Amino acid sequence: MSFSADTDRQLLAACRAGEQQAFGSFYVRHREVLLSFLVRRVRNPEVAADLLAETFASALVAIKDQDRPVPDVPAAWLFTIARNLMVDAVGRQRVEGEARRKLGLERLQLDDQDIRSIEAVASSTDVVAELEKRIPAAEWQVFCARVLDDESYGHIASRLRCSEAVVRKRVSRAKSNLRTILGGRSV
Amino acid sequence: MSDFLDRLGDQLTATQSFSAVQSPPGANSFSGPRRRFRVRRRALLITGAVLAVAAPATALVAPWSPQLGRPGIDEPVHTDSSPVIRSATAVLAVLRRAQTGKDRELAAPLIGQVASANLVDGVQTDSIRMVGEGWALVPAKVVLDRRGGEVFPDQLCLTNGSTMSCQPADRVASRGIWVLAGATISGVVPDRVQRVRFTPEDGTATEADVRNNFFTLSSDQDRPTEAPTGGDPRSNAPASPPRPVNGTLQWLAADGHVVGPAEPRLMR
Repeated sequence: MSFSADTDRQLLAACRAGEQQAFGSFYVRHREVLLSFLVRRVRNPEVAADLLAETFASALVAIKDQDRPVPDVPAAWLFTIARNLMVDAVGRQRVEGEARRKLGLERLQLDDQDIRSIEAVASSTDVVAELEKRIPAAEWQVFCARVLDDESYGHIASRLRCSEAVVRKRVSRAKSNLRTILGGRSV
Repeated sequence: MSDFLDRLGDQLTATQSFSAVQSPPGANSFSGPRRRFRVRRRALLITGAVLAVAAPATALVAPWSPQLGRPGIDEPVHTDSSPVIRSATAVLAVLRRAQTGKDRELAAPLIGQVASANLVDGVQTDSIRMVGEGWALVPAKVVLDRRGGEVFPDQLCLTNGSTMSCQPADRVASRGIWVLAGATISGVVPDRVQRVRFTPEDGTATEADVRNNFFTLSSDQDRPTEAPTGGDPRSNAPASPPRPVNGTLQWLAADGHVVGPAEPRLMR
């Protein structure tokens, strides 16, 4: 399954236009990788689940705000929300529920089966492979060529028949998106 | 598959059939800080405009390396020493004159945002010009589309520090550049254009002079309508939201003839 930013943007635009299932589809596309990311960061399934719920609720509130643009790379945007909530939660020693309150959502109670399922999702999800699917293909291609294969900018530009400036910019954007998703670690 | 994940998905989908289809309570909280920023930005632009009047115009030859982006936050933006393509300089007098200290001083705070979206590269700093109060023309060798796929070479970007619009340099003669910022339409037009006229779809035409290849005019189409009258005058009933800017832009030569642009429709 592809997770192109184009389709994510289409889903969010459809959600904004009032299509009820669109945000559900967006949620299904990203829930596992985001949950896995959160579990690995906070090392607590219950806190990770709480953060996951608040992240998607915050995203839904934001996307319904007509004054805000639809994000260019929705996956990076979603992970940024999650990371910010995680930082806030660490500082306050609790996960805020403001977005869920705005939407009238109750906090979900977890049982032992839920905890085991969350841990299973976290351990079975290849975060890097999933992240790759969330970067625009044109950017991922030059990112791999430059960073993983150590090709020169000039060689990549020649191969792709574009200017070095274009290659530099795409690498730069891919790094920026990955850095956003990974939470500030250098890429 | 976790039951928790399914229950959360059901919650999120269900909530949209209630409150979230309308604007959720508190959703406007996002707009507050942005409006305050705009006010501060406006104050900055006004300050810049005052400086523009006071500083003497002097041609410069020394290298200039303005800050393009926020250190430690934005990816670095490269500069390019090549001149703007001839087809653009041939029709824009503002690019044929030498860069001045005023250009650099006043453009510096405006061009910092070119890196924020990580879309522009190869900024031709020697060809940056102030075209109007608080507006800079910024040529760049490369602009990517917002999703990073399509590449647009040799662009001319018009920015006021908070918004930016780029157009192909080789098409500025026929299409110009225009930016909608709030209720104001600003733009760059070729040398032969003396005035511009904007006619909103359901409003009265307004005109503005062109100076420095630049114009700016207000569109009353974007002005919020007044709150309903006849009720309690102390009522805080909100005005209706801004309407879209739809209309036609015309370029007028010195003799009043319409000479462009190739695509006169403006829409937001």
